[in-house]
Amino acid sequence: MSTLQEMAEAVICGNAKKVKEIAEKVLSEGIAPQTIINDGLIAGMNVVGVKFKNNEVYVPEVLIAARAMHAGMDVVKPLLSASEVQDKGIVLIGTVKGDLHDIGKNLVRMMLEGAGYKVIDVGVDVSPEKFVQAVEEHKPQIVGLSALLTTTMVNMKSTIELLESHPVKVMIGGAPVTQKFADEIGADAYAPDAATAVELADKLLA
Amino acid sequence: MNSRERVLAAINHKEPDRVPLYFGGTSSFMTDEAYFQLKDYLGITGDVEAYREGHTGNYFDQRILEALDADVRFVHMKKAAATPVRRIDENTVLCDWGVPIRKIDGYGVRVDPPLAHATKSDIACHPWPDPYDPGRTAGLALAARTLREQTDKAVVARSPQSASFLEYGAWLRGMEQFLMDLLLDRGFAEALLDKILDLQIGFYDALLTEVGRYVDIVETAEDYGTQNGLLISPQLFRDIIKPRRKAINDFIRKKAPGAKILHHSCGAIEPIITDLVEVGVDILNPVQPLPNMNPSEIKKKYGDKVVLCGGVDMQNTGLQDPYLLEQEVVLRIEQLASGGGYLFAPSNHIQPDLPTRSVVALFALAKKHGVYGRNEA
Repeated sequence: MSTLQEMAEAVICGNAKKVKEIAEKVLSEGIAPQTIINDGLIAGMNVVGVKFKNNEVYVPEVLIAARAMHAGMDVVKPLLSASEVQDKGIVLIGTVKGDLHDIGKNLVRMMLEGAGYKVIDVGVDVSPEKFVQAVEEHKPQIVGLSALLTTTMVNMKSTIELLESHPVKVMIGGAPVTQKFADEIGADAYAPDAATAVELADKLLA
Repeated sequence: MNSRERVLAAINHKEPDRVPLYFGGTSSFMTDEAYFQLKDYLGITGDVEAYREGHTGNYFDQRILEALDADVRFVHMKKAAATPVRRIDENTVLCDWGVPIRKIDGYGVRVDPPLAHATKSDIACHPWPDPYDPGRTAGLALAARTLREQTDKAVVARSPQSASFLEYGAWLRGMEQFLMDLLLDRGFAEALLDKILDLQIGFYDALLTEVGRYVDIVETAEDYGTQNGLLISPQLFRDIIKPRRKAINDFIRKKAPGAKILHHSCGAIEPIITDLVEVGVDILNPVQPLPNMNPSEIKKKYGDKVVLCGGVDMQNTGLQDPYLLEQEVVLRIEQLASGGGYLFAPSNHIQPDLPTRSVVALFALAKKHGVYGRNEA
């Protein structure tokens, strides 16, 4: 097994200490930071995403894998010069107005980061106006909206309406959300789970 | 057949005259806004005192159950007398577990977990609730006895909390931190789970000492499921939750030997239904209809081992349409009612986005379509 494969395995197992050690070791051997990110950290999180989607691993395993990935990123990312930073794209995500639930949104954030996206997380209870303000500030290609409740998912519609004049794709998800609802309110994509959110983000930017 | 006979037949896996209507429980009641809308619509005047504060649902008026002809009545614990709920700000109260609950658009959500940075030795110092505070059970024995002796309804002890190990762990510690603790710091996690277990048993002790002999069903509750599957792996459930769930159920069995144990968990929990049955769950609620939790398949696989309670999809916004509402009622009864062993209930709280006429229609339709033996007749 190559050292970067070993790193990916350590991400999958959520072994933050080992990921950090390998990151330091491969850097000292002269492997490029972007290669470490792509072939070690992102490669590991990709496997976690698939396993999570297939109910082979669960939320705790995803959380510790994301933590391990970040332990590696913290070592490697500062060494990337600005021109080398190759984010796949920028995704701005938040839970809509009236809703304080965040575990689903956070899992999507971790999966997107694990797939190489830069994620701007604007938090919970985010009004349509705040989404627009954040979009103008961060210029994402994709906006992700989350809601847990049938009573708050209606705020996705008002957010999409307010974002209409902005050049962004909108992806939505959350417990009561369906493809039918996404179609009705004019969302560009509906993700039933966090791993699918990554696949859809890739498609939206293709 | 009266209501109690109807419920007892169903929970003993026999077909009653029609499916019993179960409404008012831990997971199948109403948010405050929906509750007041419905009371108003039904013309029920005069308020009852809130039995708790800051939660999504805080009121319970049995007259709603009378108006909807539900077959069950409830007794539930009330607020502590010695430790009144403390208001932190306009929208936030500190519950008696020491966790802030913030109300937003009518929903109480736990925030600012107090044990976020705690170590194992800090657990003992946290200001824990006193299950035996006399305010919690004042008048409950008489209320339960009156329901038992002067009504023909089945009597249910509502769970003292709507939550157990995973939720309280998450609310006290922070959800992500607690779920990581389960893998990375098992010593801390188990110490916290043991504390939650002690308190839960204390609450059931206080409650069932008063009402245990009068009740037909005792409710318990915890959420293990997401839309797609379990929150934690089946193995982790078996390691950390199942033995503690058994301890609670064994205790309830001692305190209320005549009662069936109902257990609530939202979400797609099919992989652990057998485990729940093994540790003494008699009635499973709410059978939330989901791609990995198909009510027909659950009935086929587990219907002879556990009574199913719930099924009506409360995430389906189509229920606002009278035609789709009737379709939903017919579908769930078709999927779940055959041979008995089914209690009709919404699969989560009624929310204010469901029109009050639909709430009333929901139960009227269940009575209409839930009659047994129609085909043979």
